[in-house]
This record gives sequence, structure tokens and C-alpha cells, in this order.
Amino acid sequence: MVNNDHEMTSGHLHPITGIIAETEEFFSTLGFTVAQGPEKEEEFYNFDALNIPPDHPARDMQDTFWLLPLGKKQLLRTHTSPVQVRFLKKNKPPVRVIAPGRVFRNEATDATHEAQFYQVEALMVDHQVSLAHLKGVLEAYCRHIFGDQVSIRLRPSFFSFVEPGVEVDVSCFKCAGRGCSLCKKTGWIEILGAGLVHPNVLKACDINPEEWQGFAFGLCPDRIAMIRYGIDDIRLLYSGDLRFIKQF
Amino acid sequence: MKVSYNCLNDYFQNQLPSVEIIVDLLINHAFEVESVEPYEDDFILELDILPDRNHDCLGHRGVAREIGALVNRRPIFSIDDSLLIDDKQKILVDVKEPRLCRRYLARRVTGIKGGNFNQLAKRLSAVGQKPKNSIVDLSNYAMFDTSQPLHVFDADLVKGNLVVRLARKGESIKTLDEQIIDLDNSILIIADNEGPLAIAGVKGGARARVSDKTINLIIESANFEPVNIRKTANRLNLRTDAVKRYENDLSPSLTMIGLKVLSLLLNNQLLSKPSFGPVFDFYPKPEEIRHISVSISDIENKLGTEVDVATVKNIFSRLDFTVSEDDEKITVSPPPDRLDINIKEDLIREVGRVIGYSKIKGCLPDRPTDKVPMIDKSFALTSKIKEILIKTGFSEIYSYTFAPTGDVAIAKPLSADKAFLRTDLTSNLKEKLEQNLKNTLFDHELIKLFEIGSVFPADSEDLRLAVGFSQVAIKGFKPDELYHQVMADLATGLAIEPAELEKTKQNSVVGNNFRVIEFSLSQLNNIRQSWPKANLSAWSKKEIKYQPFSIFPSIKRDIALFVPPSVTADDIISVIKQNAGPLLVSGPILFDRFDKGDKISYAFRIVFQSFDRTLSDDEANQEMIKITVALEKNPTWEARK
Repeated sequence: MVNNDHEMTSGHLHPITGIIAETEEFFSTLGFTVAQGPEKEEEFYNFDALNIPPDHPARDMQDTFWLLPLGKKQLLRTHTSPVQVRFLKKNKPPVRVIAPGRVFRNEATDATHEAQFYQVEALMVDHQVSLAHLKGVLEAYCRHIFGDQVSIRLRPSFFSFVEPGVEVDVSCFKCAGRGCSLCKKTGWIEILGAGLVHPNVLKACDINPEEWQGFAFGLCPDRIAMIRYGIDDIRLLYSGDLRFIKQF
Repeated sequence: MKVSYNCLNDYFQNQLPSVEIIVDLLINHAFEVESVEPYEDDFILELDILPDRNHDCLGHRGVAREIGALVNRRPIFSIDDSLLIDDKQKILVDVKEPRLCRRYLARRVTGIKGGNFNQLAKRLSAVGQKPKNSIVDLSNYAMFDTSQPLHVFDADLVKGNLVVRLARKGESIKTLDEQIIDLDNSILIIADNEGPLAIAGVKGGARARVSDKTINLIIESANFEPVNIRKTANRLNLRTDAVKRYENDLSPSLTMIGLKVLSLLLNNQLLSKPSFGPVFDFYPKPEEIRHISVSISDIENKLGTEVDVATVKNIFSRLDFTVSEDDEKITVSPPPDRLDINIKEDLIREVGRVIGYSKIKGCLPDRPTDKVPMIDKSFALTSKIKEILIKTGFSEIYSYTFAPTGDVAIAKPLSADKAFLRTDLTSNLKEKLEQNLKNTLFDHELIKLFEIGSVFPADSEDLRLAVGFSQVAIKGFKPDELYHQVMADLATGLAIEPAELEKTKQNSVVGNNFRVIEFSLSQLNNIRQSWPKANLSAWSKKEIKYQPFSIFPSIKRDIALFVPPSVTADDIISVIKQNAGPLLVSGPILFDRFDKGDKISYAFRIVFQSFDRTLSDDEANQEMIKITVALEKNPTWEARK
């Protein structure tokens, strides 16, 4: 009998865990530490404290899974941004944290949309934190993940909890900007949303926005894994199928 | 929102730069452009207006003003309102709810005769509007121009005066599309002596609708409070163009612009000139002019780049802000419909985006020196456990938080089998073990999986670890041995006693050919002040490309042969690989070898699978024949049959 002993070979890390680990490794070199918060979240932390008022169209951007009984105003967090608020309410600035975790959106699933996915939220608050710092940090991060040849661009965007808000694109590493299917012929791949922390969020955390400022961003490890490895269906990440996992 | 490039051009004295340049400017300085499609002699831009620009950019004028700022040209928005006014055509409207209806303009227009306006109808179709009736089309056109929703009533079908009031319980309305809707006292309506005529700001009613027979009109140009509009529209499930604009909050100043633009269209586009009554204007609390100040150092601090006063003032005036300056600050008043401009951060954004974020040079913040980084203990624990398990052959899966049963129910679940939050990881892990067994090559191949994730029993949120293993063959399966090995590996790696780990055990299920154990990491995390450090990123693959796999069933076949001792297994494998077609997806894997006399017997397993269909036995047999024939071309090789 030939020994086909698979027991001694090592197993496989889920690609999302891999991306989160690399992300944590990069940010720890800049003095960021990990913070975590609950997946079952209160409306206050998920929306109100993040400058998203009730009955505001901005809440439509994040279709929410509300939990029963509705009177408890509990939900599955739609982003990891509430960890910002929880952390700032407990810790005095300056702060540098990243918050990896699972988030949920009540939307129909297909190859590019899942009702659950991961986010890594990053928050830096200090006396002087600018868009230039945000850009520098994200540029270095994208090079850490996608290679030294990539660059990034910031475009105007809107998220209630930041101002200014930006969308961040990374230059397409597959075609080097010439245009291919990965970047939909634009030369750029949208990878995350970011901005400078809105003064109302700082105020909600009892921090004086005249004294402190900060940046925040939220990236999606699922998306980064899909882009980096060429995964064509997000649902594979949650399939528990070893034919998929064993490739990583 | 769809906008027409030609319409935008109409606001400028000279031709705008090419559509490509405009799109590029919008993407980098304003908002996303989803697509650009040619339409006859025009281009239609699909804009994804940002939520904070839905106040002013859901009409062509707003977008033209934005483009004007970016190309540094001033659009011309003047409206010739030298209409002949017939003072006898006065109209009075009784607004009972000034909180919900912040401004109400109305005007009678008499002597309408149908129109012929191909050019405008074409533009409406270009932005996705089906032409309906000349009057309705003109009011839609005015809305797409100004952002201001406009409504028209057939004046001869209105009984008595218009009233803006809350509906009464028991009232109902038949809408323009013949739907009967029951109203209640949370819904604002426009009514006459006979009852509801329209759901304010949401949808018109059938009773006083304009038709081709309409001769006399009442134009409504109103401003409604956004939250009530949104609640009403959501409750009645009526998502109209008017709702989209009102729920985002519009400036009451737009009502007058909308009314004037529609009046002018009626004056110029119909077969004969109608007669216009004076404008009724209910506007109890006029908007106040906003003054917002910002200093150059505020801007530089937040953008992280140098700016000069002249540039900043120039940007503000290009955006049509009125600008004044004292020693330290620049103070601006934005146009009234720029409801997104309220605090200095908004002004900093305007400067940043108009200059262009590409002009900001990235720099890394200094490393903090005075602070000892705090370690998140729970993250350290999960990282370490993942490392231990990967090293000992377990693979990590992520499954769904949703479950068919549980303690916490979801209000609007995606489906009945996802109506609750999971209360354990074990059930899923067990299912995934079974699923993966189907894809194993050998019956004694051990599947080893784990998952770390939150579960939601009753009122808590508990971080759990589930570890499981399984194989097809019951014979030779040693669950107890494996179990003790896992416990020992985890305990050693975490520098704790197996008994401490045992205490956190939540579930343990064992069957003939599987075992799953579940622990509470929330509990485990409490027993130590710190955890050994893991180096998980070393396990993250950086260079690989994912290879899609087929979802169709595979067929396993074995092939065995006698060969002389000089022949190696690799020799045979290469012949098999060369002669197997593209259906070979796995193997050959050597699983048996023995000596018999002067020959050696080798046995291999191979797997056939197609990417586009379920293979038949026949197809697999054909492949096997091809391989066998190729192997037996070597006279000393003898396939065992």
C-alpha cells in the first residue's frame, strides 16, 4: 500500500483571512492595532452616531437586516464603521485602529453581491490628519497588496460619516492601465471608500472636532481577494468547498 | 440620472469640450458617470449623482452649473418671463399644513391648444421618458431641466378651491394609472371641494388629470417636506421621479424657477399662445441665506496641500457662490439649492475636488512614539488558533450567519431557510464535511475543516470555533485518536492545558465517519491575559491565480499495470497525461504498488470531468481505452484488466 497520508500536509487558510492578515501586518507597521465590535449591532452605532439620520435616503445605500422584535432597534451591522464609534467612545485620541469583521446587506445575491461579506475599517485620529495622509497610507497599502507598480486615484464620493468623502481606485495591475476586462476598460479598479471623519461623528463620540481630526476608510477583503486571485463569484468564498479553499 | 449632452450645451454660449473630456472631468471632480451612449446626434450620460448632490443635480441646470465650474465657463440660466399676465385669472390655494408644504406656487393658464414640439419630445425620449400628452410632456421637460417637480391639473375638472391638507381616514384616490389607494391622516394631499386630487409630491390623481381635451390648466410648483414624502412613497410603494427629488430635499427657491420655465414652454411651444394668470405664492418661512466661513489654514490642514487665496476664491465663484473675505477667513453664500454646503468641511471638499485630488501628494503619517500599541486579545487568539489548525492540516471555511432556525429572527429574511441567526457552527460544519466527501478521490481520504465565527444564542453573541473531520470509509476511521490530537495541538500551541480548552466545549457530535467539536472562544479568551503571537500572513498566498472548477459530477477510474523494474511510476504518469484528453482533471495518483516476480504492479486513480456537462460512463470508457492503448504500445507494459 502506498502511503497517501494527507494528514501531515498543511491545511489552507481562507483567502479572506489571508487578506485580513496581510492588511493587519501592513497597518501594524504604521502603529495601527486591531479593534473589534459586535455583528449584532444597535441602530445608534450603525446609523445615528455616524451622521445618518432616520428616514434619510442615505440609509437606502445600505439595505439593512433588522432583527425581531423591531422595538429593540437591533440589526446586523451594515458596515464595520460602528466600531469607530465604539472605540472612540472608550479611548481618547490619538488613535490608530483597524476593525476587521463580517457585515451584512439585505440584497439579492449574485456573482458579485453577497448578503454577507467582510470589511476592514481603518480609523486614525490625531491633531493633524489630512487627505494627504489618507492618500499616502492607501498608496502604500495597495502596493503592499497588489505590487509596487500600482498607483491609486481618489474621486469625490459621499458617505455620511466622512467629509470630504472619496472613492479610491487602484490602477489595473493586469493591464497596467491600458484597459482590460478586469478594469472594465477604464484602467482603474474601484476598491474602497474613504474620507476625513465628519465633525458630527467626532462630536457624537465627545471629541472636539476643532482639536482633533481623522481619516477613515472601509475596504472589502472579499473584493480584494476576488481582484487579486481572479475569483469570478463571491459566493465561492462562503461555499465551504475544498476544491476552492485548497487553492489558497 | 440620464442627461443629454446637447441639452447641457444649450446653457453655454460656445460649444462645450468633447463628451469624453466632460465625462473625465465629472468622474474626477464631481460624481460617477455610469455610461455614455450615443443617441442620434446626441450623447446620453448616465450619471450616478452622489446623495448629497441630489438636491441640486437631478436636473440639467444643476449639472450644467457643475460642468461650468469645472471648465471655468459660466452657463446662462436667464428665463424670459415677459409673459402677458391676465390679472382676472387669479387663483387661491388654502395650505393647511405649512410644516409639510413649505412653499406652494400655483398659476392658472387658459386657452391651451395642443402643441407640436418634436425637438423637446426627442429630448424627453433621449433621457428615457415616453412622450404622453403635450402638457404633461412639457411639465416633465421642465422638471428634467430645473429639478423642480411640476404638476398640472385640468382647471375645469377642479371643483372649487385647491386645499393642501392631510387626508381623512376613509378617503381614497384613483391615481393617474387607475390604481385605487386608500388614504389616511398621515398622507398629505391636494384636494378640492369633492375630495383628493393628488397625493402631494408623490402621484397625481385621475379626476382632474389633463388630457388632449384640456383647455384650462392649473400649474402646481410646490416644495414638500422630504421625510413625509419618503414615508408616504415607501408605504404606498410609489417611486416616482417627483418622489426621488422631493425625498432628497429641494430648495424652495426652485419652485419659482420651475414655474417660470414651464410657463415659458407653454407660451412658446403650443399652437397658440395661452393666457397666464398671476402666480399664487404661499411661502410662510422663506429660506435664509447661509454664510459659511473657512480659512486657508483650515483648507491646507485638511487637504494636506498648499492652496492660495486667489485659487480658493476663484473656485468658489466658479461654483456660483458669493464670496467675501476678511483678514483671516473667506466667507461664502452658496446658491440656495446647494443644500449640501453647510459647514466649513463642505467648503474644504469643494476646494479639494475642484482642484482635483490628484493634485494632493500622498505622505505617510509619522509613527507614534509615545504609545504602546494595544493588542486585541480576541484577534490574537483567533489568529493563533488558525495558525495551529492550518499547520496540522485543517482548512478554513466561512459559512453563512443565516440559519433556518434559531433564537434571533430577521425581520425581512432573504428566504425561509435564512430567517434566523445561527446558534452554532457545528450543523454547518457537519454539512460541509459531507459535501466535501463527495469530491474526495479515495475512501480513506480524511477531510479536515474548521470555522471561526459568531453565533447568536438568545440574547448573546458568542465567538465560536468548530473543528471537524470525516472520511468516506468507516473502517480505519479513528475519531477519538484524532480528537485527542486536535485538543493536544491546540493546547500546546496556545500554551494552556487541554482541560482548560475542554471546559469551553459547547458541542461535540460524533458519527460513524465524522466528528465535530465546537468551543466558545469568548470563554476561552477570558482565561489568559495574552496569547502567543501568530504569523498568519505567512500562510497567505500572494502569487496564485484561482482556477475555476467544474460543477458537474466527476467520474473516477483506476488503471493498474505490470511493468519491468526499470520503469518508474513517473514514466507511467507521463504517458497517461500525454494521452488523456482535456477531460482528465485530477490524477493520475499512485495508490498501490507491489512486486510480483520480475515485475512491479502500479495502480493509479484518475478523474474525468467536463466543464459544461455531466459525463457519461461511455465517455470515460473511451478515454480509458485511449490511455490503455497508449500504455500497451510499450511491449513490456501489461495493463491489468
